[in-house]
Amino acid sequence: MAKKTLVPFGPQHPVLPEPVHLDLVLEDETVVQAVPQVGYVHRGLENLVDKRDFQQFTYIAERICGICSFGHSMGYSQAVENLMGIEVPERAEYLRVIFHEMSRMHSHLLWLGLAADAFGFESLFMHSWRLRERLLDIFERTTGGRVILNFCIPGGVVHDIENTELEAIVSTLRGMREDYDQIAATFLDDASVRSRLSGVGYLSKADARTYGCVGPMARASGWDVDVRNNGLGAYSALADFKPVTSQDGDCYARCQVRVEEVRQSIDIITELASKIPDGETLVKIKGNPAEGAESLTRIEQPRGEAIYYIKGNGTKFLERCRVRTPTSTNIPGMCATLGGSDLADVPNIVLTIDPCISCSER
Amino acid sequence: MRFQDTKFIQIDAQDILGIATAKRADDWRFLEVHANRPNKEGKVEIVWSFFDDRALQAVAYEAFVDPGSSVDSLSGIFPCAFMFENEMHDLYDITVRNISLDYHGNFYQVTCDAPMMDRDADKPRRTVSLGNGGTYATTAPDAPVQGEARQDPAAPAHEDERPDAAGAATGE
Repeated sequence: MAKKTLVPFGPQHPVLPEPVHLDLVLEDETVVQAVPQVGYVHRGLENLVDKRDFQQFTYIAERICGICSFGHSMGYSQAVENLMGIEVPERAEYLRVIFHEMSRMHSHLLWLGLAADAFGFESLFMHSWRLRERLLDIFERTTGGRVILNFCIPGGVVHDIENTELEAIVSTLRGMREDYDQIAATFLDDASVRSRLSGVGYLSKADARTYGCVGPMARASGWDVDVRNNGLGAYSALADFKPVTSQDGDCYARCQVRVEEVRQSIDIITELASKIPDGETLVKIKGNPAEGAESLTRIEQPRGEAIYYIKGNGTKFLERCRVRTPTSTNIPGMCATLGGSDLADVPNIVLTIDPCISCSER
Repeated sequence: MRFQDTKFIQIDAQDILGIATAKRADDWRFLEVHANRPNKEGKVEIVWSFFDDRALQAVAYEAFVDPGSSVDSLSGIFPCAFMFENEMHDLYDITVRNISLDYHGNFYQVTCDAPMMDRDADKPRRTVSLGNGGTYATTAPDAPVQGEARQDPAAPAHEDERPDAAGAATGE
């Protein structure tokens, strides 16, 4: 039996934009065990329910993460609406999904760029982020900033997006699609990309279930878990929705799922923009969450399913707000995937779960 | 709009292992576990939640335990539970028995023990090792968030600038 060596990976590493540490136990060049360590930048945001009332807490929730800020504000708002039985105007539901899908595209394009950079394909990285800029321009034009903040609140969205603007968004996305198809073809067909990702970091469907994986990581292993498939909100208006899956379970499959999900998001936005009804976009919330009332809601964020648990205490302050983010539940699966892999493949495997530590360390 | 319906069921904490075993056998998915701060009787609430992907049904099991008490780990049944159980220990001082990967209080590098257990408590600070033989004591007081902080949860909340929030305060 080969001698075991302990190699620390992170918390500072070129593929990690945020701090996470792994203790890698190696036999020769093969990883036999990976022990994760998070907690370097825990912020205690959930504890701020004492300091900010349930409406103001939306602004805390959306600052959990800069990439999925809209997803967090939408997930938290849905939890409050679920708790208080608030019916959101239909137009607001459509706008939420349209912006949530654009956030997914922006997140996946960011990830594709980081992945290309990690396996040394710098021009692909630049092209991915060049396309992402067009989405950020839309965000800035419609919501006032490159990060979507203060747009989705309990009761709806703070201002309407006119139909002409929605047509312009669809037109921009249609124009993006041609460029994106070229980038996607490189990601999926280029020999150097395949050689770095194919057959690396395999996770079976059974293991994905056992380890509680969610999002593209689970779907790349053939498990079609996707909250969007549950017909919630404006997703129920889609003529046809089927989660993007792959059966291969390796890093290439995880890349493939994200590549296809960008195309799927363009289709969703195009369809909803053509179906969006006229009407109000915000209802005023009256009263406070009842004492002891509880709500547990789910939302499909770019990285997977996020859970929002909130509990009222009869005042305008919540008793508890709990957010379970997708990265928290993907890390055990990632560590299982690392077992048996080569040390040189560890950065790619870690990257393909798209870890978001600021979400985990909320 | 379709509301997401979750069943909340009260149980004894000692029953959770049997419930989780049955859920796993029935192909349910584990969502998460967390603790809530002590209620008026001083009991800490622990909430385990599961999801059935076929019926699209979420169920949350809730148990009240004394602060500092221990509960069984579900990480032997649902391996991803160890993340949340270590978090629950570090932030709420709930001891979890038989965690598959137990960090013994070092999961989160927080500056005091059980920081989320009490409201507005001025807790003794923990000494942090710098790893080079040196240490420093994190003596900075709890910095309140800019603005008015509530001292008593039962006290009326402050008025807010936003008209809808102000309306909510008066229960309009």
